[in-house]
Amino acid sequence: MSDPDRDPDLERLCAGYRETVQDPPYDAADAALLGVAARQTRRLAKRRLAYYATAAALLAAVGLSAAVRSLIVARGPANIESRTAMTRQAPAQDRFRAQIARMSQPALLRQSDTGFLQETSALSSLQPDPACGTAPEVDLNAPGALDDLMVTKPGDYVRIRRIIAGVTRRPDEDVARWIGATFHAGNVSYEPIWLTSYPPKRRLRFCLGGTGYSAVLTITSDGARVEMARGPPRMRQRP
Amino acid sequence: MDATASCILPELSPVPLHPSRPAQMEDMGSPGTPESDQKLMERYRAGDATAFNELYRRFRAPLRRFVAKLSQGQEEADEIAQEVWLAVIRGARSYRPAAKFTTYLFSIAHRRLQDRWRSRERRSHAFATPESAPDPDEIADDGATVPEDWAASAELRSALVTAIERLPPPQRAVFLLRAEADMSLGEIAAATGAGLETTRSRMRYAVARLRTQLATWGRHETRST
Repeated sequence: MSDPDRDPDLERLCAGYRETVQDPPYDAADAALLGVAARQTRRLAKRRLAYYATAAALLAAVGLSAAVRSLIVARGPANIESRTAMTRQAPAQDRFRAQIARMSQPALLRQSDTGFLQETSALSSLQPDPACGTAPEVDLNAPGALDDLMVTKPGDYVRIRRIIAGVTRRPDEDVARWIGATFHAGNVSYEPIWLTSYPPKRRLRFCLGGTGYSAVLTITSDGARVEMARGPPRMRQRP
Repeated sequence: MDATASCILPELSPVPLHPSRPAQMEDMGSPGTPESDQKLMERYRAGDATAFNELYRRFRAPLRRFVAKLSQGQEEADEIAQEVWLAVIRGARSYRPAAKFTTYLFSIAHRRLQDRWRSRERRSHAFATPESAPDPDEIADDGATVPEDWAASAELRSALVTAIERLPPPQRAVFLLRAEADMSLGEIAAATGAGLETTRSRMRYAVARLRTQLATWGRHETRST
């Protein structure tokens, strides 16, 4: 048999395949993913900036202490008292340096590792979590809840966007089964809210990777949407 | 489509991705030619979100089709594709352009698919398709040729898609990596984690099976007309 890398039949088959296939249309999941990517970029840039700022502060502190030390030494051996004071200061300076070093790199690493572990644990949760019932519930209608989720749990964020986009595409009684089967979510409920409101609203509750979520969805002919809840009225403070 | 989609998607014109994807895509940023995938990924790592949008525009459709042809159902395919892109986003910080971006991207996809195959095999042995020891009659080279003019017959194109779907998953994966991502055998071997010789024989079997099935289809067609 000939080498498949140079097989003309393979090229013909690939050409035929490419002629056949079509690009799938863009949907809410694409927009959610691009949003996550953009947010991640900003987050990385902010973290990089913080790292450089801390490193610069550290360098400045070390440089300053070295300058002070050399200044004291330059005064000569006569000034024994200041030399003694300098020796006494040294451990304090070392402690200061160690503290700054702790504040800079490892702290950032710890933070990012925790975030990554949270995300991966959310992604790898293939079974409904029995602990969902006791988990704290995230109210998706709360102001900024979805934006926060985009940063802290991008996997859940994209899934939730897909869920919201998909609930109106199937019968209401099938939504809970669909969410459970497709997204490995537990404790799913999708109930109408008996209010005389137009457009109608439904309450969606589910649990993803140990976190409970709830949202009041506004159902329109264009699909479902999560409307942001109004916060409590702010009291005007007297000057 | 929600508000987020409507505000992001207009930037992404629906350019057909793979079929017209130029071969000089890997050129390193000479003026007038598209920027290489690796360069785009490095730009994204450096904090340029538009670079990721461009990468997504290039590979969204090929990746989705690749995953869809190797998974069970559209929902599972969407889930895997989403996991792959999230892995790319998370891994951007540690990305090093040691290989082509396509190899990097499709190797993640292949690993995710393998995880699904394994878990499915654990649940049911029915999915396990015998890859080795294929029917000798089926892959015998009986002088059948692959047609060149695909535009002429929609039935022929549909027969090709059906034939691809009937391939055992490892052979299907190898063929699709070539057809969707235009990868060489070495790159396919790297992406699938199989040896070069294994990949070569999988590709040979895949082509032989497709050739035979399309020849069978041609004979049926001739008889029926």
